[in-house]
Amino acid sequence: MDNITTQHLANKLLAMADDELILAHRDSEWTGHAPILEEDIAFANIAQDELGHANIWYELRQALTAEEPNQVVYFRDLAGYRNAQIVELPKGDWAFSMLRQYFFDMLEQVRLPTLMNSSYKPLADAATKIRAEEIYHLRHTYTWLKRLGLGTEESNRRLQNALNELWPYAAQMFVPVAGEYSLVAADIVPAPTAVEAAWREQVEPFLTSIDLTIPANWPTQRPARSEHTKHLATLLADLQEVARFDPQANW
Amino acid sequence: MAYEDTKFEVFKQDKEDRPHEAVGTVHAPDEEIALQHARDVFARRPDCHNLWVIAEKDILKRTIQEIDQLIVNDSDAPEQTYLVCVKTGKRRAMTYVKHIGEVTANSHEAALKEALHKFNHKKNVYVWWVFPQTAVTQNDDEDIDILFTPGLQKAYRQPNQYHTVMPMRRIVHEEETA
Amino acid sequence: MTEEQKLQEFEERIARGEKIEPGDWMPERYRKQLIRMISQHAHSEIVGMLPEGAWITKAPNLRRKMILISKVQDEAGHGQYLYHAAESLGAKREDLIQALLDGRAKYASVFNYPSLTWADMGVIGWLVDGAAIKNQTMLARASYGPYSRAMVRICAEEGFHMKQGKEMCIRYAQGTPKQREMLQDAINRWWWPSVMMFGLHDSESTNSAELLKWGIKTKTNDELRQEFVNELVPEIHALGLTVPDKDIYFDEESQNWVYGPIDWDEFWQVVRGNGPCNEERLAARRQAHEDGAWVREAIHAYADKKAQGLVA
Repeated sequence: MDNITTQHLANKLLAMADDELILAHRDSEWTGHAPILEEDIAFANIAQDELGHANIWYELRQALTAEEPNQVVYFRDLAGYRNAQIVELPKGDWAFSMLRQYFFDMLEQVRLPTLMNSSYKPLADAATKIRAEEIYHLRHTYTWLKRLGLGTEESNRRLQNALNELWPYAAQMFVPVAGEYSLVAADIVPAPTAVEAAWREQVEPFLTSIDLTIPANWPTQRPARSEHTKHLATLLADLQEVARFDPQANW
Repeated sequence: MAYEDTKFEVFKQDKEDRPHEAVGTVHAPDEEIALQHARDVFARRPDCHNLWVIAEKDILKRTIQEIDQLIVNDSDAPEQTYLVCVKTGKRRAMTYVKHIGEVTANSHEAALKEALHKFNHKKNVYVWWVFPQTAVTQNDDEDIDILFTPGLQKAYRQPNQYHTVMPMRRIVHEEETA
Repeated sequence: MTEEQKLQEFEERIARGEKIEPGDWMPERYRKQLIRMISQHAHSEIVGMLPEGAWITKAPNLRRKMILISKVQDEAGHGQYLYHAAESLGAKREDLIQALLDGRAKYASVFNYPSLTWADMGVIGWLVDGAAIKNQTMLARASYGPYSRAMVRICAEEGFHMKQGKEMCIRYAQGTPKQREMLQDAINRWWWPSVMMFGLHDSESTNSAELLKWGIKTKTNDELRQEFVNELVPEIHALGLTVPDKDIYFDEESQNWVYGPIDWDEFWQVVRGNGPCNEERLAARRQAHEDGAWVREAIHAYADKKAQGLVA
């Protein structure tokens, strides 16, 4: 792989890792506060899985850039973060978190099969390894969304509110990183437009089937991944606080 | 409407060639969720090949103290397979009911009566459970990777990942000889 | 058989080391004591998720973050096993939980103290879980089958809890000055609450005699407490740290670390609900419960519809 492609792949892996990290962080906020005891356990599993995936992508990137994952996570300033805005939003109510998780699980569902055939073998191997966990995540969120969409009037209303709020952010998940198209051309990652189309093809009928109305506006103009909401600053201050308290320390 | 979750008994089969054993219960509105909960509650660490969930109301449970009161009524119901599980041994901490075989019967009581007869060679049985095969919900074999392998990979949940014994011994020794 | 004969046979079974299982005859008092003990234990696990859960977002490296999520997850699981054991005696989980939320149920006071720094995570693992393991190892031999089995499962998982905390403490004791200072401060705050986890002195403990007779306890509070102190103090000292007990000394004759007086006033304040975090802990659980009400209604409504064939 030439230097340019390496750089682009490092960018892409950073975005993928940041998505998983920030989502895991939000998911973990439910531990001890979930609506039922068994969900404290179940959602904590999902948070651990996503953190594990973040670590896998950061480590793949380390092989290309020599940057150690903990350094990248704890000592990078907000300006350097490349997660999609959707994962940094506060956890909201259970409907909000389940829908956001579903959006992300479906993203994995539609792109992992292609990633498993990536021409960059370490990426293909990693994708294969995480596939089983992602299948379970999707089952978990399907189970929940059916019950929230078709349960009571209140649960449907809350889920619809969540959908109205999250829909504009969902489109930004597919925004390419710098150089992504060269990775597509090299068969390293799938084309973002194809992933987006596949995602909508799955998501829209499912949401309709659980008595939700798809918002009319699917944004065509999307912020770059370098742009963030005000929520990321607070999140990172929390996440990085102890590590930055003593940067020399081995925790 | 005041609704209550159903209580499900959970059986875990550690390896393919081992019997299913009762490990606890989960509360769930239906068997699909019960199986999901069972996986999250009981299969976080290695050694799980298969899980069963059975609604408690579908199980007839009797200790040997209660067996004398067993009354078998006539029934027109068709015969079906009942799974038989027993606890043997009065003293060890980790044994509870384990799957030992099947009988055919047309009611729970008839199944238990049949089981007492069929398995009367089993020594030291103290608890009997019978339930219809149809009451069991279990995971498919092809789901093993999805359900149980991730737990295997989370090594950080194992005590042997943390080295405290030797380091502490060394530190105490250094302090004592200092 | 008369009630007396039944009671005698019951006590003989226990003396023989037999497990009492759901469905076996048992004195009403045994049932009640166990429901009380087991549900308090379950509540402790649930409330115990809070002081540690608060630090998940601040865990200073990815490994520690995963470990802490996993540990708190286990605690939810332990609560789950224990509510199950209590239910096997005729209690109902919803009722037990409601009693906790209403402030009518007790749980281990140690969780009414705040977790103020990251080092608290190490100390909670090493000291608090270390103390819990002593109790739990003993309870794994309890005469009531479901409780005994729940405890065996919990003990197996608790090993990792204690060791990950101890590993952190060893590392921080040998780490940077800021880490050592943070660790010593955490030990200073958690030492006495951990020592008090073993309960009242034997002379004051009213429940103990009965629990010993019925095979639910096999060692006294003071016996376990002394074991704990004898193990921890030399190791804390070896790390170059101290326990906040100016009176503690090693008695050559008994080979015990003789500890100073326990502040029972503080103990009772905290047990009675006036500890630093009692209100906060219960408020958090109430909030979670209230916030979850519409969710539970939704899954029940869906289950109804499913039972009627209206949904898949």
